[in-house]
Amino acid sequence: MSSSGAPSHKALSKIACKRLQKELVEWQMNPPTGFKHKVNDNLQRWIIEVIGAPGTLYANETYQLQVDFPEHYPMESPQVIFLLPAPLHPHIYSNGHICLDILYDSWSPAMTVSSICISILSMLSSSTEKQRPTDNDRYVQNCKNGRSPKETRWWFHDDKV
Amino acid sequence: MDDYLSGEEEDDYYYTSDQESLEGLDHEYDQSNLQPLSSSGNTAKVITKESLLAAQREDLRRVMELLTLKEHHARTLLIHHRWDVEKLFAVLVEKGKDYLFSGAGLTLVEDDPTFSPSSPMMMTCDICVEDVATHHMTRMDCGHCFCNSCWAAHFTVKINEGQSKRIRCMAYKCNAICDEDVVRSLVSETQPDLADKFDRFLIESYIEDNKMVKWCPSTPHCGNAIRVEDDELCEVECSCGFQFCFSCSYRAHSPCSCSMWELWRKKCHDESETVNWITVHTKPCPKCFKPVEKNGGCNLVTCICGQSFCWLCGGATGRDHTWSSISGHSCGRYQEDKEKQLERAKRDLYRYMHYHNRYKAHIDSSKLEDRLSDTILEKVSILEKRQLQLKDFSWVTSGLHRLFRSRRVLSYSYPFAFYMFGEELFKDEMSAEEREIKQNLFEDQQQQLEANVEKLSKFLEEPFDQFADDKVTQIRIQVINLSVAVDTLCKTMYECIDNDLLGSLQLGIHNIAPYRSNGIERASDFISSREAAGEKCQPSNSGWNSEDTSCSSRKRPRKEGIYRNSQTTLLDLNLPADVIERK
Repeated sequence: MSSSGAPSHKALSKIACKRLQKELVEWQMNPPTGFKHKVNDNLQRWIIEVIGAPGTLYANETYQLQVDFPEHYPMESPQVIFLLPAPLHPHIYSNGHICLDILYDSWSPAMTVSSICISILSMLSSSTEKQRPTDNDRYVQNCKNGRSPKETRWWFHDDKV
Repeated sequence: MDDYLSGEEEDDYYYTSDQESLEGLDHEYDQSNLQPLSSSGNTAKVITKESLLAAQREDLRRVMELLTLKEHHARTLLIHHRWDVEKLFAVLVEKGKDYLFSGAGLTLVEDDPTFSPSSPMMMTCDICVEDVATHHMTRMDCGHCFCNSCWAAHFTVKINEGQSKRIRCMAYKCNAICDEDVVRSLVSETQPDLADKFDRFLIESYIEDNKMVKWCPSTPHCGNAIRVEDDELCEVECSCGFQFCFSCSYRAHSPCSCSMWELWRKKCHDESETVNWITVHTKPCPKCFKPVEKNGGCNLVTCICGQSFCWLCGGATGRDHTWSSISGHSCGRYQEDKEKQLERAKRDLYRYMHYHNRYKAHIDSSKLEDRLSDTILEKVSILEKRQLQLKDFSWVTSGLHRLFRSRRVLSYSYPFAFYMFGEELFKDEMSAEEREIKQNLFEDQQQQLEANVEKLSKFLEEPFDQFADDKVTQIRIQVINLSVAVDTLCKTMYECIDNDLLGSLQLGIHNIAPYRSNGIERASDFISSREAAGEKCQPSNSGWNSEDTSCSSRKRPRKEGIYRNSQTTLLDLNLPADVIERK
């Protein structure tokens, strides 16, 4: 079990399996720029390497995203967090949780892992200063027992960054 | 009070009051079309599981007719506006149709030419990325088209999350609410149970999301809801017999305000005063920690465990002492603050006990009087069998009703007074003199009411079924006049509370349900206007199965069943037979 949030223990549904296999094939043929999927045989947890886009604060830095898929993916959103160390960013907490609406309230089954990755990279790229969210300590304290970010009631920051 | 026992010429007055008190009881019938509905009229309606759909349809129809919409679109709009039809219409007038629709997630599109029979037979569903035959796909009103199994999976997840009322389209950033017919048909194919749940959520939204409708708070729950018409500040009786305050959903408690009642309930419940008493009157033994009460004597106290300690500081001591000192022990520092605190706590406690005892006494009396209704009906039937001059005994049940009603008012007037004239709520609202004047005014009324209620109770408890003709007539006059007097006193008390006491406060948060002579409004059965006009309303696809419906209001016997039966008699005797006879 991961220390950073326990994903659903339930196995993927048939729809989820089929859809993820298709996403994987699509990814291998056409990976989003700046991302590398570390292939393993676990369809339910993807580890994806993110490389900061050139010309941004995170250029040449590498981070890792962990994507856990719930039983009813894509009807339910996947849990996406940064493995530590997480990038310094006003919407990324030091425990790796990401404050991004599409991962929670605004998730749509029409979105894919690729589209999530592109959103996250664009969030990183538009940052103008490397810093933690103002409520970082309080939030991280509250998440101590490996709580999933999906259990958080997010109050989304502005969408400029 | 005793001076109305004489004089023939006063008879007319009695009959008038007799009729008045009779009218006071026929509230179950005055809802008929004969009388215009007013705020004091009978406007509350019982919505049972059976009539819930019809009640909802009535509001749906208004919206459907005005906007020429389908039912599910009207429902989406109404759920968004919490079933407030007037507010919905106001938005329509002020902001226009487009604003109204898009705000509620309603998208109405013309037929999309790209999705016609001439379209290809196969299309790719963007969710499962499979090629699916077009007849296995569904296009929502917003224009987004996905395969049926993806839609069904989406609906399942959302219904299980409890989001039946607002299931959004699957497309990214699409705000549209899914067509409920589509949800129902796709879900029921594989999971009929879940489709039922969906329907129930939709129907219950009429209660859950509607400020004019509330579930009856009876336990066990009777399954009914009550709808009020224009004033949420009222007390109402459900058809199951439970009387509650519509504002706070607790048992009816006027003339206490909701927040006073809340405080009082908590106070009585957690027995904080008992704890207070213990703190004021006892000290824990330093050895066994049991509370020890000192009932006199010097300050050396000995616990039953044998430990001696100093009453002033609570510290353990030896046994050697004089009246004024304990050998080897000194704690003679005087603590004025502490003493004042104790005095204050003691005074508060006695005050609470005063009000609580009286409140409790009347509650207890009313419990005893509940039993009176059985014996009193017996008395009436005995009287009826005897060949007396007097033929009309409706005054007995009217009097009994008045007794119950006023007894309740009286008991709740004590917690009211406790808070009204206490320091907890309105400390800074009144000067001490002002408070005293008001308190005297109120307590005079309260005492007058109390005296009359007790008298009424006494007369009703008399074995008048055994009395001779003239004595029965005397009792009758007493009961009738006391009933009228008690009613008037209750009315005056409510008016005094409304105008002089609560009405004069800066803080307008304390409001009480208005006094109704007729008793707490009994909600009438909901009859849809269409049904009333002869159009039968079919409770179709309601989600209730026939077994469910057996749990209707009829299943639970009325608590005051006896009473209700007697009212039928009362009505028939609206013009007492003996009045006519004597004339």
